[in-house]
Amino acid sequence: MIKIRNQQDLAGGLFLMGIAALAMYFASDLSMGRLVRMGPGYLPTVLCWLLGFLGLIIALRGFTIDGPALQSWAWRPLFALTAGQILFASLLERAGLVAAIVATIAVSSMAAPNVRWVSTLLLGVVMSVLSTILFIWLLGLPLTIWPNFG
Amino acid sequence: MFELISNLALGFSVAWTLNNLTFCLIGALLGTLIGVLPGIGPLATVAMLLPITFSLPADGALIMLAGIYYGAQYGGSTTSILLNVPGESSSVVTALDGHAMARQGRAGAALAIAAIGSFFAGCVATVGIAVVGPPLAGIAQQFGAAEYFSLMLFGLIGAVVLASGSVIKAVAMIVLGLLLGLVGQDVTSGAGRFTFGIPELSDGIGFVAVAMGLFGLAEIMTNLERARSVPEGQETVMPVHGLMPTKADLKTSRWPILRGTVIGSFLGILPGGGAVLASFSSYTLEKRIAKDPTRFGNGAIEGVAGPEAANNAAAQASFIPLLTLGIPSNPVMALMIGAMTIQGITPGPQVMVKQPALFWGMIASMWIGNLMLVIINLPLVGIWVQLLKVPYRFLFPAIIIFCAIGIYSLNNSPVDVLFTALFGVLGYLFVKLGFEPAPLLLGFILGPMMEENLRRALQISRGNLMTFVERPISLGLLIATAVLLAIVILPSVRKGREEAFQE
Repeated sequence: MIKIRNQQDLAGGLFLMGIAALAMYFASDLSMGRLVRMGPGYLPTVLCWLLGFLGLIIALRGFTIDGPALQSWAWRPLFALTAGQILFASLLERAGLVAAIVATIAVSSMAAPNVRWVSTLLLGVVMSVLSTILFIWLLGLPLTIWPNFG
Repeated sequence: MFELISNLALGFSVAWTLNNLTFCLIGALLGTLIGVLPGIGPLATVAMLLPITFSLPADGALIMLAGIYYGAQYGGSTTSILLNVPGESSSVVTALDGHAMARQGRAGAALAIAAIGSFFAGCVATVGIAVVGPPLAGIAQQFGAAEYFSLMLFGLIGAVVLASGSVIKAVAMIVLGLLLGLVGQDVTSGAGRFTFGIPELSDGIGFVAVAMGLFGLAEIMTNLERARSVPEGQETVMPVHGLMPTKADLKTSRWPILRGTVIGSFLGILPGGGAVLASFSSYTLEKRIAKDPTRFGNGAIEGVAGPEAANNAAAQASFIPLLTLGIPSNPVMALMIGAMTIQGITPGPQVMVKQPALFWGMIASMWIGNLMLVIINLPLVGIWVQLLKVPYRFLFPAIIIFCAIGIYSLNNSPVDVLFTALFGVLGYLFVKLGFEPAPLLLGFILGPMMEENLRRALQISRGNLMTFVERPISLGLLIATAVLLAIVILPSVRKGREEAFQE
């Protein structure tokens, strides 16, 4: 029975091989050209092979060299912060700066354990005022402050 | 000699304008402000503050960025001394004796010596850049496409070999970075590569989104994860009374500062060298030559003076390869390349010839910035102490908002914010799998330049790969690269290297 001695390397290597295979697929319809006149697909293809090869070695090391096991993931910060960014991106142009900031802060704050809603809301208000003064009035960014209902 | 003085005079005439002095001051202040926050190192600081410089004129933007960089460096030292939470690896060393001094009520002396050491080292390294810059750039001007390709390869591999961690994983990160750098419209043929029909991708992935995601967002995620095991609130900030170091302090620190400066100036030029290696080497050296090594770790002032001088000298010296060759020796310099490109400047030897005012202005501003750090930061240390007491749960949402607005404002594009989120997740994944994201950024920035030079070199040589070994400079660089790789792959050296990084 083969024993996995370094879970991180095995997973990391497989991840890189997956990316290489995926990139190879998307690069397949680009023309290769020749060395003297490389086409747009030449270097991507070469790099995909290289990445796949390195991924393979790293994955194989997972069986030969002892190393750390996979750690548990902190899903809470990961989800809260990512969702915050997505929310900000989708709200900013449609709902204006203030709504985007308050929503993003509310969602991002959930990244930390035991959210205190009053202080979070207060932070949202403070950040809205600060950002409006700094980015819109002083730096003149073309952002709307309030939702555009027109 | 005369040329050196006239060059520096030109530089000071550029840097000594009200606008540029203000940019330098704002940069140093903002850099310290963000850099002082626990868990945020210079790389994350520079990535987060990049967007605010883009609307400035080129010289102002670069002067401000440089200010941000050494401000962040200095802010990190403040945090390590007062809080024992090093923001990044180059301040780990400072925390050892600096925090021990703070516990003995000598925080002020530690901060002052760190500032004095940094200032001295910064002055010396600035003159070093002015002396070494022109001849190096002169050599680099004779480089053709083949030499440039080999030089970049050498830079990439060198950066990996001298950094800590697994070499093969770092090389894989470089390759992934190179691949990501190719996303977008191919310059020669106009064909879209990996664009998936997303119009925003035809110009490539924005480097700010990559940097801010990998280093900013991912760093906040790991900080929050770690914070679960630490009690909330930062009550452990050490008080600062009196900033003046004693005469004895200054006397003991004199030689360590000088030695640190020399070590830092040399290591900073090397690819991958930079601040971390410099401060570690300086600490090891001071401990080894000390009469009583047991004092180290218990508040030896040499253990603050040497490494602080070394890391500032290295930070400054790492501008040498950037400004003369256009090669980043560490990820922060890679961000500088990105910033220069956005300003319409192609980094490389021609900067010094075509835009001498910009080049020398930036060098002069480094010296001014270092002076500002000393006169501004020491009196302001009380403010930084207050900042350290703000709970993290207020700080991180505020940082995130500023980052998101900054990213958006680059191209007025919400898609860039989404890419930041994507790279944040990727960065977190890399942390969990034990990959360093820094080499990815180096590859990402150098990718397009390497491809261009590779294509051009092969076009000139009519597709003959031998061109890279037939040209002597290119051959030399390739041999050096191979030697570097061979060295780390040989088992005996690898063992020693691992021990060195354990220490």
